[in-house]
Amino acid sequence: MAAPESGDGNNGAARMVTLISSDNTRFEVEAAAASLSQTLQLTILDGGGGGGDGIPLPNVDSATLSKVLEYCIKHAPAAANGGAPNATAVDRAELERFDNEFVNIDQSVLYSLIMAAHNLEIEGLQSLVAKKVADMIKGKSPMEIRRTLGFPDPTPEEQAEMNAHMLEYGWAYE
Amino acid sequence: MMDDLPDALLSEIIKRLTRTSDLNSLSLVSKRLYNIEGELRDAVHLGCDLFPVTLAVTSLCSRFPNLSKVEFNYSGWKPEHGIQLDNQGLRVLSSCCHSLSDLTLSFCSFIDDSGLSLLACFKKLMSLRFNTLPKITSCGLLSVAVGCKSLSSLYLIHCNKVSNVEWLEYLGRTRSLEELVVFNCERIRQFDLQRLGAGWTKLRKFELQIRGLPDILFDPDDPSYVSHNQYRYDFCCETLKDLTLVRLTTVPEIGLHCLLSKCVALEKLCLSCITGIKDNDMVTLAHNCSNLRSISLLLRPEYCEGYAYRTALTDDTLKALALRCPMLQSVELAFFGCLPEWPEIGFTQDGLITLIQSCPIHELVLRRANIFDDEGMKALSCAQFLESLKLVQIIAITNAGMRHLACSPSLMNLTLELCDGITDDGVGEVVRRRKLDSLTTEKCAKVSQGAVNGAAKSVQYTDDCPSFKRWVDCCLYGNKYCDHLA
Repeated sequence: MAAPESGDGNNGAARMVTLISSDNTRFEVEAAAASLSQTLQLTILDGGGGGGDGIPLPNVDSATLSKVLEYCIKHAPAAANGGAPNATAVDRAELERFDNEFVNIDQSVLYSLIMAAHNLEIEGLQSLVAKKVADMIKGKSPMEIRRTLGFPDPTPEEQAEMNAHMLEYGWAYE
Repeated sequence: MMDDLPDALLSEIIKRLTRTSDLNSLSLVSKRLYNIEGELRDAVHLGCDLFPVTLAVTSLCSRFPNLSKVEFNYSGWKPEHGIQLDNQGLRVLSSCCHSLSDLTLSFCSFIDDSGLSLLACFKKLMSLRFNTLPKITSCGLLSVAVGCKSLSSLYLIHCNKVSNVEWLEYLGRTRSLEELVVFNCERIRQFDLQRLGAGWTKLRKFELQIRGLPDILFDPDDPSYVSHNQYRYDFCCETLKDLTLVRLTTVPEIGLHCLLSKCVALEKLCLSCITGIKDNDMVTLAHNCSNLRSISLLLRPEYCEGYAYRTALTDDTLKALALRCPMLQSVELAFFGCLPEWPEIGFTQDGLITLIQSCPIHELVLRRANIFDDEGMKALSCAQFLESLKLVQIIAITNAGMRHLACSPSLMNLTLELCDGITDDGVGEVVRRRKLDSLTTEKCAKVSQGAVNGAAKSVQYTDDCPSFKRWVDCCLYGNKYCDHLA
C-alpha cells in the first residue's frame, strides 16, 4: 500500500524526509525540522524527500549535516510556533543555552557550518555562526585576529598602504 | 581558514561588529578585509582632529564609498585645532558623498545659511540634526525645507538665531516630516510650533524644550489666539506616538496645551516642568491613549485651586492611568522642590500602589518621592513584571522595605541613590534572594562597598552622586540634549 509518510502529517506520525550527504550517508529527519532550510523547504513542499528517494546534498558532508540537523531539530518547535510570541522565558533561555553550547566548537567545524548554513539558507543558524565569529574578533588587535581566524600576514606593501591610511586619518575611527 | 569564506559571508560577520575600534582592527588584518570593511562602513563621526578638512573628507568618501550617516562634532574646538568644516567643506562633501541620508552638524560655528542651501544637493537626505549652529537663521532653514524633498526628521538644538518659522509652515505643507525636535532655541516659542499646521498629521515624534525656567508671570500672547475660537488649533496628530514637552507654561485653549487632548496614539509621553496641566488633562489623555507604554513626569509645586502650593496632579491622574492604560510598562515619577511638610506632592502612596497593581510595569523610577515608604515596597514585591527599579533619594525606605523587595519575582536591575534609610543588611537581603544583572549604589550613607562587591553580574558603587548631580543640572538648566549629542 501507499507509504503513510507521504501524507501531510495529520494522521498522527510526523512526516519524515531523507537527506543524503556528499559522502552518501542517509539521514532521516522530520520534515518540519528540515524545512528550517529555505532551500529544502520548497523541495519538501513539492512532496520530495519521502520514501526511498531522499534529497542529495552534494555540498554538505555527513559530519556537518549531522551538526546542522541537531540545530534544526532543537529549533523546529519554536519555529513552528512562529518564533517568540508564546514561548516562555524558560524556553527562550533554554534555546539560548543550547545555542551557546552549539557554537562552542573547533574552528574547522565552525567554518563548515557557516558554509552549510549559507548553502541550505537556514536563517537562524546563519546569524548564530556569524555572531560567533564576530565575538571571536571583538576586542582583538589585527595581529590577534590573524592568528585566531587564520588570515595570512599582509605583504609589506599592503601593510604600508593600510598603515598610511590609519596614521593619516586615525581620528575618523573614533 | 576563515580567509576562504566568500565576501558575502565575511560581510555578514562584519555587519555584526558595532564598535568602531573592532572595525578598525579588522580592516588592518588583510587587504581583502580592508576593502570589504570599507564598502560596508555606513557611518563616521568626525571632530576637531579633522585637518585639513576638505582633503580629509575627500579621502574618507573614497575609502568608504557607501557612507550614509555623517556627524561633524566640534564640541571643545579651539583655533589651534585648525579650520572647522565650513560651507566650502560641505560643498566638497556634497560632491563626493552621494548616499548621505543622515547628517549631524554640532558646534559648527562657521556654517551659515549659504552652507544650508547646499544641503539640497544630497538627494537622499532624510535626517538632519543641527546642534549649536550660531550662524544659521530662518532663511537657511527655509532653503532646507524647500530643497530637501525627502526630509523626514529634523532636530534643532541651541540654534539661537532662528526666529520666524516660515520654514516650519513650508514643511507643514509638504507633510513629509515624521520627527521634529526643537530644543532650547531661544527665539522659537511654543506658539510658533502650531504653524506646522497640516504637517502634524504625519508626525510620529515631537519634542519641545523651551529655554530657561518656565515663566511664572506667563504672558499668553499667542498672536493667532482669538478668544473661544480655536481655528488655529484644528490640526490632527493622530499618528503621534512619542511626545516630550519640557519647561512649558500651558494655558487651556491656547498654545500646545491642546496636544494633550488631541493625541490618540501616544506610546511614550514625557512631561517635564510643565505648569498648568491639571488632572482632567491627564484623565482625557489616559482615556484617549490606551496604547501608552511609557510615561515620565517631572513635577514641581505650583499654585493650585484654593491657594494650595503643591504639585498639581493628584491620584485622579494615577487612577486614570491605572484604569485606561493596560500596556503601561515604564513609569518615571520625579519631584523637584517638594518636602514632606510643604510644599506637598499631589499624589499619595495609595495612588501609586493602585498604579503598580494595575499596570504591567517592567521599569520604575522614583525620584524624591517622599510619599513612598516600606508599604510601597511591599506592593512592588508583588509586581510580577518589574525588572528594573531605580530609587533616588527616597529616605523613608528601610531594610524592612528591602526585605519585601527580595520577594519580587522578576527584579534584575536595581539602582539606589541617596537612600540613607537602607543599610548593608537591606541590600544583602535582596542580593541573596534575587540573582541581579546589575546593582548600582550612589552615595547611600549606610551601604558599604563590601556589601555590593560581587553581588551582581555588574556592580557600580560610588560615595559621590554623579547621576543625581546630572539630574539636578538637567532640571535647572535643561541640558539633557547637549550631553546626549556630545
